[in-house]
Amino acid sequence: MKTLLKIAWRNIWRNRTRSLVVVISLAIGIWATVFILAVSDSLHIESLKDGIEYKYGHIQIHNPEFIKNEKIELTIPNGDKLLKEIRNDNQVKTATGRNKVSGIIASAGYSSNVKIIGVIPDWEEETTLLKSRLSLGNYFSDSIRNPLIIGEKLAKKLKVKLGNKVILSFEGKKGTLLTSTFRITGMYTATQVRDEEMLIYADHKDLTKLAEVEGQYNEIVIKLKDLEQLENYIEPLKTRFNQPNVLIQDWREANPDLEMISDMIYQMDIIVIIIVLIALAFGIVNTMLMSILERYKELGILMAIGMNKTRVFIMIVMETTLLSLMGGAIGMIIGFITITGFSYKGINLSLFSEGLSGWGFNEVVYPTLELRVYFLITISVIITAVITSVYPAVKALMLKPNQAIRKQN
Amino acid sequence: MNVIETKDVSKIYNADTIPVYALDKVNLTFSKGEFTAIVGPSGSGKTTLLNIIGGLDDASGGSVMIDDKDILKLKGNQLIDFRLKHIGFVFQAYNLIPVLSAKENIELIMLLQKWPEKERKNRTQEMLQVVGIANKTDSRPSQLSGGQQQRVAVARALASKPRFVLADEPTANLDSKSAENLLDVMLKLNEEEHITFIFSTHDPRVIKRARRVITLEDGKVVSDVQQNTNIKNQ
Repeated sequence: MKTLLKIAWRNIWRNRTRSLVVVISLAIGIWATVFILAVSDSLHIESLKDGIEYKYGHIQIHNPEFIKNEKIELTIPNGDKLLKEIRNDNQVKTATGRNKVSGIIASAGYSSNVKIIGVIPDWEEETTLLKSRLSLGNYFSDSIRNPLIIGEKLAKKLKVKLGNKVILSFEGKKGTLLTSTFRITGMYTATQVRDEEMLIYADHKDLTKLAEVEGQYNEIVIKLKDLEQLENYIEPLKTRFNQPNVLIQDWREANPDLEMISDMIYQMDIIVIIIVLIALAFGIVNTMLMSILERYKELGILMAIGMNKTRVFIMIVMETTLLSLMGGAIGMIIGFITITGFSYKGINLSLFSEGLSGWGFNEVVYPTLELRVYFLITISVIITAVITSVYPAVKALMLKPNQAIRKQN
Repeated sequence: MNVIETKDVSKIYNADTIPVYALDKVNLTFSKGEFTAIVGPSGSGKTTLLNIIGGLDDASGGSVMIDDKDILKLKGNQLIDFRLKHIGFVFQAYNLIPVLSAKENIELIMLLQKWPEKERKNRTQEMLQVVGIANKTDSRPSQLSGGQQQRVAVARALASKPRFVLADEPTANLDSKSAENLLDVMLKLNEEEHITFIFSTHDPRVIKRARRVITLEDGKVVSDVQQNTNIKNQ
């Protein structure tokens, strides 16, 4: 085996330029793959984190009818009692209740469709860090009647400033149209433009009083101390509150769009890897076929003097694998260095900000890649190399030693 | 004691159209320790006969018995392993492995035969001495002259102590001095190690020093004579 390895290694360097071109192309291909995966995975992880931290929490509870038809009167039965019980659970870090209703916000000259979210100020702050995301003004205050927090982009659209009054209109119980004046006390920014334009936050008490659903919630959001414990906590919770009008879901179930994006990113990653591996495979096959054609006579001699087909096969597989591993390793090392560098500095993708924010992605991405992905790519490269070496190796085995020896180089 | 026996060995090209007989029912026997030259004009079937005896080519008919085994019936790896164990080849164009040094080329067959390292190293050194290129051990074939390359090829063929060596025009590309030196080396090994040598050749220098000369014409054996030669002094 050592001899075969030695011959294989020396064979690679017989045509230095060709081998170097192959190694460099492989390295660039692998580097690009690793880097693209790191960027896309980081965008995805950031988007998930953003969704969980700022909006969805780990677990959500709704009245199932509310999911089908988002009306403010479709509240969770005994929601208040349920929320208090959950907040006392050991595994729960925090939980809050919300009311949600679609409506229209209007300033003196402009209006826009919005989703009004009634929040319990202190508990919401614990759960989704709303207060920390304020860019202008203050959080809810008891001293101001009907305080409202809106996104900066919406404020720009409505041409309103802090302290301005706006009118909120929405559908109340039994289809009644409710209208009230609110004062903008704070503004926030969000990674998603859509959120900044659509989501506005009012005090739960003001909203439920107006809609006559006081002490009731459309949504309960739970954050656990340890996300790893999600499965262990949610199942007993479902049993505990097994009622017809109580639907308990984890963040994936409650937000299929997040799951969809996850799946899509995963599929795109696979597609990128497959494309690179196919290109890599063709490159390797081409090089190895050329190399074997050039060494036709020599392979014939090896077989004539007693190197059996298995050894010839192994030697060619070794050559291919060594060539691929060199390219793969260099690509992986450069990829690791680049990713580590950018993971501190970040990559500014503001050029694509509109498209990115539509998918809930940040403008600045800090690429990181899990070690297992490096491992996965390495394994994929090796498997591809071995598979692609089969064809040239089989071609080599088909030669007849006496004909090969007679061949003039 | 016969080492090799060919029985009615034929090689026919274009059997379905206009048959060309490269070999036509060749019957020969070779004994242990022979130093035999197969001669004849180009196209007479010398190389074909050597290739068939060495299991490098198929025959259209007949058998090649080595140790009561018909090697024409061996296939694939069986045949390659047989060559590895019993036959040494010396080719006209040397055919060394270019990525290996002289020493590594000589060692190769022993490595494939899994000789213990110490024995292998000793035998390699011995062969390097015998063929007179001990000062070129680490040179690659491209750094050696034709004569030196052919010496390495002979050393490679003989290092693993095969039953017989088949050499296809081994001196064709060598100058007179190199050819004589190589013949000296081969005769010495033939005498000392009793290895059977079968050559195909046009070279009168080789023919002159062979103990048996078989002449082929149009694929048939036309003469088979023993020569009484005083090898060293001719």
